[in-house]
Amino acid sequence: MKIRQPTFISALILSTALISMAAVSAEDMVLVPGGSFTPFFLKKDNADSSPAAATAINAFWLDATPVTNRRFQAFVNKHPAWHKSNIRKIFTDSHYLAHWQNAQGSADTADLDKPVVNVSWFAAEAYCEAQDKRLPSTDEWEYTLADNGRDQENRQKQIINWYSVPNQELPAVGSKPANGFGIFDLVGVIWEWTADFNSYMAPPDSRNPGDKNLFCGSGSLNASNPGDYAAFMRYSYRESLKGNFTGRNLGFRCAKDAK
Amino acid sequence: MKKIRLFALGAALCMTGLTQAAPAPKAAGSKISGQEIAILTDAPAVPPRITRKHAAKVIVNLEVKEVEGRLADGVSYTFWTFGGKVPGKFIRIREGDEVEFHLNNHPDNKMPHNIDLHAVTGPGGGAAASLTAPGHSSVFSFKALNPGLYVYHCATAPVAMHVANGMYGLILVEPKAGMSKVDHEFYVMQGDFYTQGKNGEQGLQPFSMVKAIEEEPEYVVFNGAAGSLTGDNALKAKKGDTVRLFVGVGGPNLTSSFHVIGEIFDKVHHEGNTASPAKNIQTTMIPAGGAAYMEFKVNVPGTYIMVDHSLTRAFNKGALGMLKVSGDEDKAIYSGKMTDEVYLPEGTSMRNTVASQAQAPTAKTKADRVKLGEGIYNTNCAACHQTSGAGVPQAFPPLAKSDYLSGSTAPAIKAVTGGLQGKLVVNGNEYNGVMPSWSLNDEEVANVLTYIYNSWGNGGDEVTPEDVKKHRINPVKHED
Repeated sequence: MKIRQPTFISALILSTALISMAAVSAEDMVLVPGGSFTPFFLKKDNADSSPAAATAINAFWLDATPVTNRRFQAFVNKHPAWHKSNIRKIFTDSHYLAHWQNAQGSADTADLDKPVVNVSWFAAEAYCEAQDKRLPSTDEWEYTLADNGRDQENRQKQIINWYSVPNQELPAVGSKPANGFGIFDLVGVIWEWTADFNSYMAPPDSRNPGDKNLFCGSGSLNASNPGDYAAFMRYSYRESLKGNFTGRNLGFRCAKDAK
Repeated sequence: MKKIRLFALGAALCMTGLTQAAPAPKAAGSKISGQEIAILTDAPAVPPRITRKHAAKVIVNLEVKEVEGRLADGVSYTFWTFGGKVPGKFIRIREGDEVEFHLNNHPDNKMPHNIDLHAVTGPGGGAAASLTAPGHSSVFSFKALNPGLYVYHCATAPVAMHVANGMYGLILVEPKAGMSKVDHEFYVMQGDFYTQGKNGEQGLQPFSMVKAIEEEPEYVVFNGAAGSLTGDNALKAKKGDTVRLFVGVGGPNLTSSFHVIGEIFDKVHHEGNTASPAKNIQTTMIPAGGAAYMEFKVNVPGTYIMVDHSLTRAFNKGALGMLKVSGDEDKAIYSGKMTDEVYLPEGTSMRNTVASQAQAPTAKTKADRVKLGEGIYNTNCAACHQTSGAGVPQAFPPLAKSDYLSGSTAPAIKAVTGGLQGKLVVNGNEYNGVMPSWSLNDEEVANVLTYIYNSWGNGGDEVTPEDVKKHRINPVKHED
């Protein structure tokens, strides 16, 4: 795979600097070192604490790129229950793998190295489990994107530019430079599922009516940085999802505890 | 309050009525009978007046689409739309109607969206019930309790960005008594746009978060683009017609001092209220996230310019539209220009001549001309043609790389000294405006034209005072 080399090098440099251990597994995972960051929103069970509180993240492994059609195809071949003609109705909406349009219901050869999309949370979770992995938590995903504060301005611009342009043909994974952790394509290609994608905004409740919602002006009350429009978009996108939803711009990557 | 309770009771009874088919006494006019699918229209069209005398169940299907479109000449932008255009589809219902609202988010979209209708009483105005992922649709229903003209908009975080990208429209809840018949109804909505490139910078322009937060728009436009209501797109009426304009402001930030040049609004329904219009209004203030409608009879043919009377928005950022009224002139109401005479206040003529002679250095070289011409340009020409020479799309033709300036210099001299009026095609775009004649002397005209010919990629010609004298149309006023 063409991205193995740069992943390895950048991750190695980082890992020697930060935690001094080999950081790339055979499955193209990168060890993201532990640290802390300020989440944009707190989880709802923490909603009474200050929004600016830093959250600690333990070191974890993360796929260097989103899961590709090629890899998802291999998973489906091995686990036919997740073939588009077999998948149980409660696990997906009607667009599951809608872009796999040939008679066999398999991936188009031209798309093999592009990120897989049109997968529900259940399918993504099943894929990760089959590799002995799991989906990353939203905090882990956002921490990886925050990249210890490196190149923040440029990242925000990149995100807004992507959101501003209607759908384009998806590129192959790893086509653009990795971030400081050696992770590719976190933004600017697709949205990604996280394990706890919709657990951030509490619904209105009797103690605190209305102001923990993600609509209209009240959405900004709880945010750590109301000027970060790109973050609002990520959180509101996740908030709009349910586990059986799929999307033309929605894929995933897997994570694993570092032990 | 009592009224609302009564309606709520009516609604509750109605629901039981539906399930149990038990007849029950209801407030007159609030009984739901019949079902229809709402007719939705793109601006400037408005759905037909409601003629039924009872409340109905109305189904509204609105599709959210993220589309690339024209913001100004040569400038495109990715709009987020309710129905494919900015502003969103016009929705027209009647007080007491029960609306079943379907919000459909196209699968190609990248963003989740929802809708907050200011006509809805309930948390978030529907927003809480309608957050919808791409490729999905949400359904909610509401009862139209209050008549009026209301704004609707997307309320998904970041709200300001969703609105800045064009996610707003109008919903009219007609009062039970209905609305009077008029000859024309039009739909106009103002919005401010924040592009990364400066006004006029060509190509697809991404949204600028910084400019949005600073509230410094590059464009302020009616109906989603500069020029969407000018030239061939102008609104049209005939002399003697009554016109009703439904005007909303989507924002996200700016309010509008809405004015129609040369018209007085016979009636303005401030803030979209249907009860008590104000009469004989010149300019009406419309808040961001608010609307008003106004009626007036057009008595005199001609072109009426709609503007946000915060005028640099109209002149420089696009907030300009036209209403063209056809028919015969009525000199009793408006005479038109009767005479044009030179106005010379006593004693000033001499001073002016002396002053202008004292101030005006004479150019010796072409370089001098360019230098002196720049000052003249900035004082007299830049307001319309811009210091960049780019002009203003739909209003003032460009002087930069202008094909109008590619041949002989005589037409330019004639234009400056005699003015220009009517249709003109410059660099492939049609303009239909007025340039006044300028009372500049031969030296000044020569200098300003030489400056123009030697700027912004034009041919580099030199125009001399002798050339000007030869082709001049109007004599210089102060030289005789």
